[in-house]
Amino acid sequence: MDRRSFLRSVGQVGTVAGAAVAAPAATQAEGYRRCADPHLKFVAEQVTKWAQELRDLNYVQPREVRATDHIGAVEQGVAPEWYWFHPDQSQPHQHPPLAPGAARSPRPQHIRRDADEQIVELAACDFVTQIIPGWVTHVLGYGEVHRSADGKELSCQPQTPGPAFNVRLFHPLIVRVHNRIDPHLHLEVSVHQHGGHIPAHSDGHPNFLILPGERRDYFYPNSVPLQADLQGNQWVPRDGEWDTNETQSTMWYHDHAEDITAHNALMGLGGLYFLRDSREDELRQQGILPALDHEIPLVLKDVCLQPITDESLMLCKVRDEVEKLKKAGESIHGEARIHFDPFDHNGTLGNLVLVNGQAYPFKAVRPEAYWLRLLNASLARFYNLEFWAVHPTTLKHRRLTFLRFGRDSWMFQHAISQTSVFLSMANRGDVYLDFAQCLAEDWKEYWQDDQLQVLMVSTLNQKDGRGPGHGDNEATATELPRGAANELPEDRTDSLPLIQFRVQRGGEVVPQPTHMTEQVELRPHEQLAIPENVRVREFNFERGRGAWQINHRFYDSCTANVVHDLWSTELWILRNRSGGWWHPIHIHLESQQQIYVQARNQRGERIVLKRPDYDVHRFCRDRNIQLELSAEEIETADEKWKSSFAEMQNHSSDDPDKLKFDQTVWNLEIKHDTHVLGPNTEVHLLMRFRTFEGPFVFHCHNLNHEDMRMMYQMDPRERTQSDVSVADEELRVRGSHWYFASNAPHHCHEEPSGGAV
Amino acid sequence: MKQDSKLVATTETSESSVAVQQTAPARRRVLTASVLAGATATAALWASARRDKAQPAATTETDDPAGMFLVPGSRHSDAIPDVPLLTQTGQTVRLYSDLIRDQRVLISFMYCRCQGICPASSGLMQRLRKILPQYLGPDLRLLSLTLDPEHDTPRELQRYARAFGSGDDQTTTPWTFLTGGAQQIESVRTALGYRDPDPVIDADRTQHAAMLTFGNDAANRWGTLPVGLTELQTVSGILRVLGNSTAERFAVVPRPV
Repeated sequence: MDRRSFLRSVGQVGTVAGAAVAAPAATQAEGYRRCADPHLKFVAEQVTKWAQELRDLNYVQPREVRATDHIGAVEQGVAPEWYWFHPDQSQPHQHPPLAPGAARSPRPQHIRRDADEQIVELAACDFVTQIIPGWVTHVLGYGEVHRSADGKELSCQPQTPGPAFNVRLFHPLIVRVHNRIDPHLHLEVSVHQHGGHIPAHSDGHPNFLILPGERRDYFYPNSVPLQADLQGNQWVPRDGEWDTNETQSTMWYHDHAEDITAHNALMGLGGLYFLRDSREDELRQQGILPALDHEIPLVLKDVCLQPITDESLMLCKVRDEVEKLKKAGESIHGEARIHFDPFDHNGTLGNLVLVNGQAYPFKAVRPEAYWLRLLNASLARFYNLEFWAVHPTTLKHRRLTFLRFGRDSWMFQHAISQTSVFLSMANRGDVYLDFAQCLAEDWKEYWQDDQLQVLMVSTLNQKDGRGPGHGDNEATATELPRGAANELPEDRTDSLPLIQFRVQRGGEVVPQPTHMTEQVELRPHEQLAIPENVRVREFNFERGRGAWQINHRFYDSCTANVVHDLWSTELWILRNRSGGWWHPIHIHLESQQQIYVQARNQRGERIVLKRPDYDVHRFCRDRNIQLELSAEEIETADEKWKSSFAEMQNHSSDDPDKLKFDQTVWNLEIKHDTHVLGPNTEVHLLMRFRTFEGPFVFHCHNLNHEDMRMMYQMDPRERTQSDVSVADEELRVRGSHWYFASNAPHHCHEEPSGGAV
Repeated sequence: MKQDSKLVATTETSESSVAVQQTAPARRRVLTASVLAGATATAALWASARRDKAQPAATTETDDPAGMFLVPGSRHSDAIPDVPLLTQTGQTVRLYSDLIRDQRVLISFMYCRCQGICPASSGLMQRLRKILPQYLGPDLRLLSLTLDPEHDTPRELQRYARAFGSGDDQTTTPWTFLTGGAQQIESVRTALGYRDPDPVIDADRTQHAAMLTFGNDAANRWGTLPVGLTELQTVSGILRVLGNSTAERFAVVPRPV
């Protein structure tokens, strides 16, 4: 920082801070107040772009389970479903006994296992690291615990994002998670494997916690559910018919502890989880998927770093590290603290987007095809990602096209040619990006010395937790430091570059015989039929009582808001009725298929998507369900949207002002686990509830909203007489997997006051 | 930054001229500067305030094996302006330094003429005032700030306080009602996150009385929950933030039978 900019920033501190008190209404309109403070922008502005090479991810190394591991003999136990396969194991201490009728009898035939379990040990830790070289940051992360054959711990190196998982379909895994976060921080954790089909005990339910110093054995079967049919009025699974279309691909895991999910996730508790199967192997052998060394996982998360140079103000752990490094002769400026504002409930935005925990990294690539596995791990920031080749002298940019072949956890049946990836929080995007397209003659001017610069940029503006745009999608200013003139053309400085790909040509070129195309079938997809007399449920996501509600209610860990028949298919209607707020809704347990969507695209055009076999108008009329649009409006809007899709397919135009919209955001032909509910968006979806009894949750994935209890509990059960006669929401959640075996006095039907007040 | 803090330090010394205009971070820098002289004493105080009750007493910072203790001056409560306010008994207090610093607090917003959510919020505060000390002991303070400072004089607040049983008994768990200048109240409201990015909604005071904020300032932990939860959910959520040990934090666990 030169002297002039230093003085300028000091001056701004005075001005802005003064205004904050004198005119609170004006500050209010700024939205995310504190991250906009100049002193908080300091670190973000100091980072040199494209100076660090993107580090390779570490992968966990599962090992055989040994007798000394004593699965289930940890404080928070293992899932009752694990005992289906180990009937000889007595359920050890701490595991709450199963009350009669509280859980089903063992049904090992509902989980396919092609191998014995392996085990991975993870420890959630707090530690210090340098996100920005020269600045020490205190973070949370996961480390893999390595042990010798006799069970002695050898090492545990925590990292953020945590180590990635690389697991095989039908190969079950035990993940023993230790909560080793400093007990003085009083942070409990709960690990949710996002996208997985997991027993309730191991699903990362917000109340199924691991308390400080304790452990939990997560049981990940890595299986797919059985197909099921309606026979009479009973849903019955088909023996041995595994629904392999449900095989997930790009998943992730992150913290989900009640009320502190936003904090824990922001501080670094998250990582990737890849499931692989024989179909993927085949596609790779055929050259349709890139080789394993051509996979580039990219985890995006924005943070706001507060610079602290006064040692007396540093966290003690950080201060010790700073002193140690300084003594060792390293150039250390001070602490860069991740700024978490516990008073911000709208949605935490950062001013620095980290890619795999690094700021503005670069990655050297060949002019070949790569599999980019994108994850938006941010708390409240949306991204619209594009890939721009930048002209070395004029800085003119040109978009690369790519094939999009996965969204959330699932690969598509057929890839779709696209130019942008729109990711709401928790969304994943699988992208087949072939840099060889730049070898064509008409790209010649973009190369210099056999090098080409391709930037991944986000073109989305967002200034507060409401989401991108405010209902009408007007352009909004943002607090992010934008592309400087030496990286992006001046007319595109509103775009945010995140990572630089350095494409190097020359040398030996290995010709690729086959490629992914839009025609090749990747993974079969079966459209769910709408069952006759399908159970319909409506969920309105609203602003109410100073926070966010679902159907006028807040999350209550004692209430089963929705109780399903196990194995059933239901039709859910999700409506966003909260003005300008965006709510990405994540439903645990299984994939969902959209059958009707009413939304707006980035240009503000109304989008209506409707599956031909779903006469939404009639369906809703017959059931007395309100629908905003008339039958005619639905038909005409549908046509308009189809034509705008067609327009987007045309990639010949490279007009920079022309917004092209990711057509997988709302899509009837793919699977979803996180639905983008933009302002006034309505989504009708089909979902199955198979294999595992609850409780599970669904919630807004703006994690600040989730912590303010924008979350519901669902509890698939084998139908019993007592369940049928009682309405949803009067049913209590079953206690068989509850997080505490302690003698805590309060049950769901008691009030803590212990008497009238 | 040094220059900046000196500048504010001058303002701060002239305490009588109620330096409302200073910002929270600036105020904290001053605090640090004045406290640093007695650093050892402060650190010991800090350590004991954060100590788990279950653990043996740590008398100095070096006894803290993890070395996690923050130094005063970098807490979340930096965001809370230390504005002068009037209590229901007409006493002038500083919001942060007199009522929040190193304490466990429960904060709500209300106003006397409010017909909507306020009776529910204040009723909940009234119940929590009896319930929480059973688990946390006497180290707890309740604060209710009016959103209608022009109407809500200390006298009005006193009447309101009495209606909620807080008129007289201030010895065990004090419940302080606060009014003040409109700007001061606004600065506290926005600092605590009782705000809406939509200016029209934000200007509607009926929107801001439906949450509870609670903080354990010594432990640097803060939380907020909507008022509309059940008592069991509310109490367990509050204890997880205010409790100083696992036993306190999980004294109430809503779990099915």
